[in-house]
Amino acid sequence: MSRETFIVALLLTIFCLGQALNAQEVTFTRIQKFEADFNFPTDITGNERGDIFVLDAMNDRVVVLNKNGEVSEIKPQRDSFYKAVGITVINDDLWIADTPRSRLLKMNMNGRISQVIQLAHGTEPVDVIGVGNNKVITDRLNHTITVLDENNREKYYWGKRGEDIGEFINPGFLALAPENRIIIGDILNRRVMSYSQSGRYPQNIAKPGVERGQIFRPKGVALDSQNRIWIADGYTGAVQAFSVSGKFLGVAISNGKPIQLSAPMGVFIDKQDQLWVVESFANSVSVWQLK
Amino acid sequence: MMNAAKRCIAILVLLGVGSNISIAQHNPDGRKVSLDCVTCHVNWHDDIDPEQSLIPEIDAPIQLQGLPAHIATAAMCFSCHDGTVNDSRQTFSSSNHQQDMDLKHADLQDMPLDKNGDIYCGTCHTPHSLKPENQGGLAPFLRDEKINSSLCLNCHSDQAANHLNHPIHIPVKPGHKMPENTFWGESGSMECMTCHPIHGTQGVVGVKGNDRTELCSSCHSAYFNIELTDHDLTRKLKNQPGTIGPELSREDPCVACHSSHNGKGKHMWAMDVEDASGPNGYCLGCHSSDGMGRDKSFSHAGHPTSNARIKKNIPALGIKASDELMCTTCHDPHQWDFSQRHAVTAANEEGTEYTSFLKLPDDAQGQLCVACHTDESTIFSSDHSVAREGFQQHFRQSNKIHGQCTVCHGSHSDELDGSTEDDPYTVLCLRCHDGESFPSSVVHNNHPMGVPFKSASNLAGYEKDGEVLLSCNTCHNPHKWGEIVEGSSTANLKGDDRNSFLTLSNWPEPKLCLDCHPEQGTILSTPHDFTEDERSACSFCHIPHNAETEYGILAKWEGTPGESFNERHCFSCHNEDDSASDKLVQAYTHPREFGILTLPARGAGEWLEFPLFTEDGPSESVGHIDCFTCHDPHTWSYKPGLQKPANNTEGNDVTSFLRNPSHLTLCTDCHGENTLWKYNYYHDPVKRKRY
Repeated sequence: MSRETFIVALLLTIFCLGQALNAQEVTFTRIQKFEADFNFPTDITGNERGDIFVLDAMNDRVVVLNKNGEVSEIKPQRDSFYKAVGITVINDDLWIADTPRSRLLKMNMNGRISQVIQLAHGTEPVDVIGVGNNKVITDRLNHTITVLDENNREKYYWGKRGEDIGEFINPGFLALAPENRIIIGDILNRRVMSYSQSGRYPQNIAKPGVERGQIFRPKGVALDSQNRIWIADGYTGAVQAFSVSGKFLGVAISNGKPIQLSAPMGVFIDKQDQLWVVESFANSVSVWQLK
Repeated sequence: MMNAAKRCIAILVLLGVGSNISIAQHNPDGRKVSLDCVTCHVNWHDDIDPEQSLIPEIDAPIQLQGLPAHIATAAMCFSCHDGTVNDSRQTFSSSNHQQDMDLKHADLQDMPLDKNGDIYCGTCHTPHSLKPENQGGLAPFLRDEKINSSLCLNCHSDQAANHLNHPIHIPVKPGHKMPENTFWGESGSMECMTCHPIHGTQGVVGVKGNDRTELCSSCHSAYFNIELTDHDLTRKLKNQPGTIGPELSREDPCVACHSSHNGKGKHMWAMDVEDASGPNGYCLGCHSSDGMGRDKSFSHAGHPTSNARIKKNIPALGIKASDELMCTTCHDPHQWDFSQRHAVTAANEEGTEYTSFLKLPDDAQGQLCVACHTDESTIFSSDHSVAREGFQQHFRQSNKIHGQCTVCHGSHSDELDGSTEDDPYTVLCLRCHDGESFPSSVVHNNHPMGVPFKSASNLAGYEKDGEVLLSCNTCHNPHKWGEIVEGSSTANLKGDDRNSFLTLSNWPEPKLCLDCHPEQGTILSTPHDFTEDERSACSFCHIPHNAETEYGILAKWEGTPGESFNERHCFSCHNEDDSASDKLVQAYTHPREFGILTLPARGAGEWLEFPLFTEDGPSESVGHIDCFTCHDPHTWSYKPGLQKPANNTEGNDVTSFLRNPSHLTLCTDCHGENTLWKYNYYHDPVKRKRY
């Protein structure tokens, strides 16, 4: 064996070993399941106190869950956000992406809509997150990312419809990564990317496909305490973890097989690293313990 | 060394980075396809490692004509239509098309089914069709057009057959109350999805369980006048066991008789219909002797209801020329009272001329009947109008329906069909003209009735034993008064030869009388023709009702001298104070003691050519000689050509209304050779004694 051949073989061995290590499986244990007469709920979020909020917009309400299994609801006035998709907590207020009406709604915990922000360009907001004093919104109509300033005025937007880097086909759910990196599910491009708030410095997190380490319908994204980016796949039902640099870290396993949720959408990870995920087609919310 | 390192790095790059590069994708035909295709056709990804695949196990192939097809599943549809790309959650959460249907009969050539062979999103929808915002029947993303129901009829062709199902492709009625978002076809036509919205909150618009009240009433509100009537079978038979209609325990009044789809007969009929009963079978199913509506059972007497065609368009009844005459020509089974002024208060209410499910009332204007029988509307301004004082009271007391026409005509009875022994017209007319109810009685000395007659105009009568016999309707048409004399009022008209409901005008020429008695027409223009302004030649001597005599229905002579009715009748004019004072008869009486003749004494000749008389009229065998023995007052002369005298012509022995003397064998039998003298000087008081 020549030295050259040996080096190649060694490198191949190292690579394959690395790949094997990459193909991790993360065991998930379901600890709770909520079925609160949901009607195709979409998104989920939580606050510092451990309350979990599920947007059940087809029922025109937000359902409040806690680990004790208690369920309550916040019911604003009628038709406040029918068919809205995204929800998040910013400064202890609920912010709802009122998708079909091109609005962001600020809702108090008592259900009062305290602020209505009408978005320009016919924006149909899918999700919203707070980044510093700004808010970042995904837009399913224009396939762009809109950034609002601290006064909720449009600061700028970026992106356009397309398949290239910096372009989107239906940007969906958002998560905030360290250094204010925005994690964006690019649904019909079948990928998850991260960008700076201004849309620069793209980083591919998950690439298209239907195998482990690939994404087909990226829906909810959330980071755990280890800054692992957990991505729910709305078609395969899988939940997979990637590093902030795009490295595949593993697929959620339960009973020896990848978990297969029923049309998972919004994902939220609490301080105990419990993953709450909306299973829209099953009209339920399941809670999983990450190990 | 450097080259080796470069090659190593290249391999590493290929392995490390290349593994994350999207691999190509091909469709089942091997053609390379774009990324857009695998957005839904997930299996078109090349070389999926089964060990690494995350494709859900539930993703069994969709079937197309029973074979696996690479067509998206419902889960694939929802992965975009969950609100993030498009929002069809309302559709997914609604009462969608039933999935587990029997599809054996369906024409599903290009319509896929899910792994269980059931209907799913992709059965009707395909992203390769027109977007929702596009114009055209294929939007939104449909495999076939819904604008003309083609999509639905792929499977439901058996539910579009005319008459057995609710019609489609028809214009919607103005003023409907269907919801604003109701689907209409091109030009506003009604289509399958008008009632079946597929993705609505209700499976069928306005249907709660089996109660279709809201749906049906949206367009057919008028039909809901059926509620509370005897035709509201749902209410009438509520909770009663029975086989009529699918569900009688519900509140839906339509359901007992109508089934929106797959009816058992026309009109979406829910009950069994006997073909033999023809178009009236729908009614006769109940209105037969053993049916539910047997207390109003139908008979073939009365107005015809089959084998007849309407002759003209009659908008008021909603029928048109050539339509078949049937129950529904007059009746609207949904409408107890057309005007809503006489609303039904309870089932089993007895009908009147305003109700009885009539399309129009048979009121004083007889609206229902004259809609077809327009010629008979002249009755309304005559003494036969039921608006006339006394009519209503008279018939209400008799507990009969008292509409204008039903006073006399039983639309479902046999009062005028000749099936009774008596002359039905006489029976009918005498209900009023009986001498008690109304002043115009016809109780004695009338024109002979029930006798055969010969009419030049084929005047009517009543049929008995194949023969037409004379009756009221021979001379009278009770619907047409005739000429209205100036100054007359609507009621209590005084009749004469110009009117009096005569079938033929009897003035100035007595056409009616001469129609059967043409031989008496010789009286015209003779000295016996006393035609006046309102009286014909005949009526001077004859009155057809309440006459002085039964024989000859002679007019009243009131105090005129004479021994026989012949003499009294003739002397009513031939006296010194009257019109024939210049033709006084000084001698006239034939000795009665010699006037009793027998048949052998008559000799040859027709007896009516030289009649004898009793007080009852002419006699063939026994009687005496009287005025009309020698005189025929209708004929000036027995000789042709002399029958019309000139003015003031003096009569002689061949005129003077004398009968033909060649028939005087009667006289010669007694008087022998003196006969001629006696004949010539019969009225000469001096000479008749001499001879």
